[in-house]
Amino acid sequence: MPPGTAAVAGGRSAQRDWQALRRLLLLDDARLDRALKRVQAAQQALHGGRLWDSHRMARWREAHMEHLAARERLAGAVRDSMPVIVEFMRELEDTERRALAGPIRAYAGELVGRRAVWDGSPSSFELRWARAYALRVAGAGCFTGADATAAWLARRDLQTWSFQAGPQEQMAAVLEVLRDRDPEWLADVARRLATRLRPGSGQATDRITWATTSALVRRTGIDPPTGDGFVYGWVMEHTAPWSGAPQQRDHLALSERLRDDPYLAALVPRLFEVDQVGELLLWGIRGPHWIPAEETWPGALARLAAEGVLDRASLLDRCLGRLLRGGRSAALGGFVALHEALVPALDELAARTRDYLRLLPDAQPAVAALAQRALRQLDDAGRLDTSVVVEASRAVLFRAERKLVRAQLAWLDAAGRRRRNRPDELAELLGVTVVALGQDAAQLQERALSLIRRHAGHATPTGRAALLHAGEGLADDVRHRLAEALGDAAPAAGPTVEQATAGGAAAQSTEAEPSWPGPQALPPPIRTAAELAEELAALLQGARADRSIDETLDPVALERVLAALVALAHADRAALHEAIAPVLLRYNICPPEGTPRRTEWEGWATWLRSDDHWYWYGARTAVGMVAAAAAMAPAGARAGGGALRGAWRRLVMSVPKAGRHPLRSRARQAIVYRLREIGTGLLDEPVPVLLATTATTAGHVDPSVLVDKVARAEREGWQPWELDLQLALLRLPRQTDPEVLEHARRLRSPAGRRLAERLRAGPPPDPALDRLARTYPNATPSWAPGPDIDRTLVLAVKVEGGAATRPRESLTDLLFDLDPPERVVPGRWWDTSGYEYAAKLCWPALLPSHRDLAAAHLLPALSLLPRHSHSRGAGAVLPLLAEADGPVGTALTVALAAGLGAAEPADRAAAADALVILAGRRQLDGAALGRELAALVALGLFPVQRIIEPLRDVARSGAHPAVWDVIAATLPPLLPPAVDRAPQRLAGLVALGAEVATPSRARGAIPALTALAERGGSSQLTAESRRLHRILTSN
Amino acid sequence: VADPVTGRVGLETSGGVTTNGRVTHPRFFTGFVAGAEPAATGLLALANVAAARYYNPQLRAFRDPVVTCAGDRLRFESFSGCCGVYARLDLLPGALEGEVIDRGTTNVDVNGPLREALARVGGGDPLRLEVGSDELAVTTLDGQVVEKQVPLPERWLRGFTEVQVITAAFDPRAEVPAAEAVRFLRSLPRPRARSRGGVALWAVPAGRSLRLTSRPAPGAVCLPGPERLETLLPLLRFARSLRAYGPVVAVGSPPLASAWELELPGMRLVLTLSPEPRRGFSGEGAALHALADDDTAADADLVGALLAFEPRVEVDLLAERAGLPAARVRAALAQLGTAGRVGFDVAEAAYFHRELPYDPDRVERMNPRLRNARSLVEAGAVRLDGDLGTVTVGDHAHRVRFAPDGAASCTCPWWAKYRGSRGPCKHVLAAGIARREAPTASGRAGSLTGGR
Repeated sequence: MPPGTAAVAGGRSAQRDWQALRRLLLLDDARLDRALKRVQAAQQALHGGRLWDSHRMARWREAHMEHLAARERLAGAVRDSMPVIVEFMRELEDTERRALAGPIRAYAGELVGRRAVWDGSPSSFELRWARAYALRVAGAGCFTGADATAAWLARRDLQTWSFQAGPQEQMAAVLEVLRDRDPEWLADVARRLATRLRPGSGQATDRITWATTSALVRRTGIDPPTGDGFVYGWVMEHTAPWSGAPQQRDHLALSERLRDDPYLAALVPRLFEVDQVGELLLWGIRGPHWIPAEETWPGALARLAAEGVLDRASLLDRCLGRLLRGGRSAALGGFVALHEALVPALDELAARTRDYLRLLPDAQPAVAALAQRALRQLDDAGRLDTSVVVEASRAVLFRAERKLVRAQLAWLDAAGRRRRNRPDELAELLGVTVVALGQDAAQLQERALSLIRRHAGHATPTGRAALLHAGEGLADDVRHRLAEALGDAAPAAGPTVEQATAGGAAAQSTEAEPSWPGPQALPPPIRTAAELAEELAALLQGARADRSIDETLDPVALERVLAALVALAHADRAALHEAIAPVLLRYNICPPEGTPRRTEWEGWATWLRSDDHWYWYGARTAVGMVAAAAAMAPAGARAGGGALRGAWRRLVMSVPKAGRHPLRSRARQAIVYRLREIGTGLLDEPVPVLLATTATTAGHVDPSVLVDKVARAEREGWQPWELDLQLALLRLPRQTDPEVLEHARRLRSPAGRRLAERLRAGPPPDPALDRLARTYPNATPSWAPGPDIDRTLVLAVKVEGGAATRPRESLTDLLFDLDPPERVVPGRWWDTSGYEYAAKLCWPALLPSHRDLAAAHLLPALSLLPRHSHSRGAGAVLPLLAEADGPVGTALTVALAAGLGAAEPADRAAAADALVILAGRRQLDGAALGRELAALVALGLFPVQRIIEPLRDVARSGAHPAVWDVIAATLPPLLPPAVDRAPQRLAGLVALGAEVATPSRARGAIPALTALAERGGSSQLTAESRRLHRILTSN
Repeated sequence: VADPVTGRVGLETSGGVTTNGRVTHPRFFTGFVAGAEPAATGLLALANVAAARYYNPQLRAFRDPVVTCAGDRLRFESFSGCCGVYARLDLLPGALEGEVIDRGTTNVDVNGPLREALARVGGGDPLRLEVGSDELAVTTLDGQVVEKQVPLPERWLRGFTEVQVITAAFDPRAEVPAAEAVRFLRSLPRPRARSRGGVALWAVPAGRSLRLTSRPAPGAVCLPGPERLETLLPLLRFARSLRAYGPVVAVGSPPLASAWELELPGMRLVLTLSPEPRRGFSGEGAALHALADDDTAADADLVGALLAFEPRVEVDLLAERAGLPAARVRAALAQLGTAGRVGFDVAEAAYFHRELPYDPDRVERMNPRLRNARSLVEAGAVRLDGDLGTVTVGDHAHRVRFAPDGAASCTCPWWAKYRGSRGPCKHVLAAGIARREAPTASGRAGSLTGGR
């Protein structure tokens, strides 16, 4: 006897009811449980062992069969229990239901709540799903309130999508439980459930909720709900097949199913009002598989309209209304397709002329194209007024999409031919072409001009004069060509081309020449301990937002804090300790003794024991430790100094020399060595001031200040720290004021003599960086996305001359040595070690007088700018390099080229900034940059249109000649005959060339361009080439 | 009362506060708009801003512009769903042909039918607006659409407060003629499917146009999340010029807010962008100093009573009428702005009056930072020592430092992250309150207002 009937038969209490129900819901079956456990054990035993072991495979097959059998049993148990559960629930009284509501909610929480984590075995979740299904069905009968019932049925976490029961079966069980309830009450549940549906989700759980709602609606016979969620669910129901459901309706096309659908009339108008539906309507149209038109929504709706089931006029009106309302292109695609499927007749189009007209100015391109086609169809049939054609043209010719503009010009041409014998209407049409002449693209200008040339003779003289008048706001050369195109009928107005371009050049060349105001000013030094505490907090906080390799470490902020730490430690250690102790505590950096620690932190000495701490913490945390060293009171220094020094030594010992490690970055290594020296120096032999503190954002020190500091050391009898001195010498500008040199000659200490020598002899020689072409084996993984460009890689920068000429063990040695000596420009991120970005912003400040070398160090990171989002933001280093000193060599030029082609707009803007600075300093070799750009574009590293806007920005700053040099060198290698086919969108670059050629007074034909210009044709590239060629040869 | 579906608090706009006092269903304006097409496109742009979310775009957005009739002009204001863009369309006297019956503020939804009706307005078509306290009626050739008043989200109220304080510090930085504006705006990066909150760009005047740069420099305008200017694109065909406004920029500035004004025939559309796409105006905290300061509250009451929906509030005139010095009137206006009752128009560099629901108790609830600061003071966590304050929270302490010019700074992580660019932290506020409450020998040392 099933347990449920016992409960029904015996005397009942809420407690006993629940016990009985719970037993039912658990689907308890000892044999089932044992079977599931056996499967689990077998599967676990399979882990480990040899692959493709035949014995192992046999065991797996065995376990699998057992699993299937257990599953069958489970499904059987569900099938057997369900009628009992249903029967049990239906016989409850309202009071009994209320009593069960609490326990069943608690049980649901237990079953699917946060603590019920799936333990990984397939059997466990299958059992849980089965229980959730039983629970959902039972719960439907447990509540007396309509809202509570609706909420229960809409619970996503109880809905299962499993083998035990398809959605139809699940729905049937729920309906069965609810069978005897009051119809009014059921209608209420249905309506409330409908409001709980949300549009925009195709999740299986939501589909079950929709199916339940729909079943209740049909059962109770209420009006179909028209809420967004219900409409969406309805479309979903007819769109994507139920993956697990029996395909019982496969033989029916969508149009057949819709014809008999009870919701059709009520919900079709709502299709045009629910935002998320648009994308669903496209289903099957844009997919990879062809499906017959009556299977798609647009096709099915059109067919029903043709049969008279739906009102065609209303469909068309609503469709246009939806398109007018606008939205994302994806959301509108379905309605564009519906419009196409409806194939409106001329009369229908004519009745909606105004709507189509309103779609032209700012609808999505696909929608505007639709409206344009519709109106042109009307005009071709002679059913459009000329004024409408003019209004349409005015709207479209202003648009940014060239394709639409071209189509409009073609339409205007046809319209003009039809109106040959109506001169004043033709003049109206011609008048609007002035909008197209205002477009920047030469192709559009040429087409508009040839249109004018063809028709001007047939227009009225006043119309021609009006057109010429309207063109007065245009650029000079366009205005002149307009006058030419209008022929001798045109009044002789406007200057000639030569006058126009010369005048234009004169006007433009009066614009500000680019000039460089010098490096940006630094913030004033930190004066008080309280201020230092804030800066220190900012530095330590910055480490938390950074990746662990000091990617965004700002050298200016670092140097400011270090300078203040040393100076304030010298002035008053007690005050310093007082001010910064709370900050260090907040960031878990505790000196070993004497300061209360936070309980969860056992002290930084323990932390040092970890070998990996650099990986996790980075240089900014080390600054915190330097601060701890600085803040130790003199007494504390005696007490804990030994331990601290030992700790520092351990720290430095753990710095690895090579291998895949964050410290692989030489910049980080140099910074860590500097921090080590400052930390130990503050303990052992404090100095009053740091020598290498930067004076400019480019990273230079002020020579006269440095000489003064060394002189002070001589006077006061202290020795500058060694690495500090070395870095200060590296940070000296390339040129020295003779007066400073004179002062330096008077220095007598060893440090002073080294400074004087460096000032006299100038900076150490730059290593020669040369370019190599190399062929690399194709190591590209087969799953790799993107074009296969690293088969014949790429660029390498080789260092000639070497470290051998320099003293070992110096900072110069560390930074002048490229490791490996060939800087490979990686084509892919897996060619990199992952630490290219470590301390990237610090490089210019480490080698401010050797920027090409700094660029060579940064090249692996910068050359990834066009390809990979990991390097996002690395472009920020380019303006700093441009502000630094030293020759601009191959490495910096390649870096700039990669920056101009960066994937992120901000990185491209940074590259443009660098070009502006270099142009202002007259240090930009445009031809070399152009060659590198062409090489990278030819390699397929980035599309050519990326470099156009940044170069235009550089030109806007006044550096027209520099930009012209770049473009003049970029174009020839990218044009035939150097390549078979010019890259996509090269026309934009040629157009920019035409913009800057005039103000930079560029003259002299470029052979490849001449060939292209003379070849004829009307592509964008040839049109732009003709314009540029005309400018270059206009003398 | 929170709406169970939207979670919005049922705040009502002025609900019939007009120049004639409280009326049940007042009607402010009835008449035609002269440039119907740009006005309709501008209203759609405004509704697009209200319907957009530039950060986490998958979440739902509201769409309820606020309309103020200010005597000779109509102002339509809205925020994006993420509260990071504030848009305002001003229909200036030249564009309006009708009868101003009264002055007041309302806020309405822009639903599908109204969008459709506005999209159908063409060049020569008439567009008739009727603005009432509880509805906006738009009549086009296709008939009339009426939008009823809806509740105003609390977040918007905070946004109005902050925008007013932030934009009052803006100056004009650049003006670009129409043709160049078209080129500039069309060349900006397009929006992506998922906002990644990328790096801010800056724009500097270059020739007749603007050029983008990656670093702040004096004279530059920040362009944070440039794709947020996309709303202006449909209006370009009517544009006469583009103007950019921003605060003073120094080398090394963090991302800043900026305002972009598109001048249209007889009207203008101003978009104000928050410093980062992920930062909504509602949380910027620029008004907190003024809110924490009780000094100007009395002046604000006086000045507030004198406001009468002026299109632009003349400070000198108000000063004369209130019998207060101009500086105190400005402070009072800032205080009124914190209640959303005053807005700032960067194009005219003037305040204007609008009426929003204001409840002093709610201000406290809406600003958790201020609430936390007061509870810190009440708990006695603040210890003052000259120009230094120590605020002890749990097992750690933060130091608040007052510079001689009254600016305050802190050592807490929040301050370390934003360096005061997002308003004061609770420690700075608490120290400021404690300092004002504590009688010092030298009198009141330094006001906190404007302290950054």
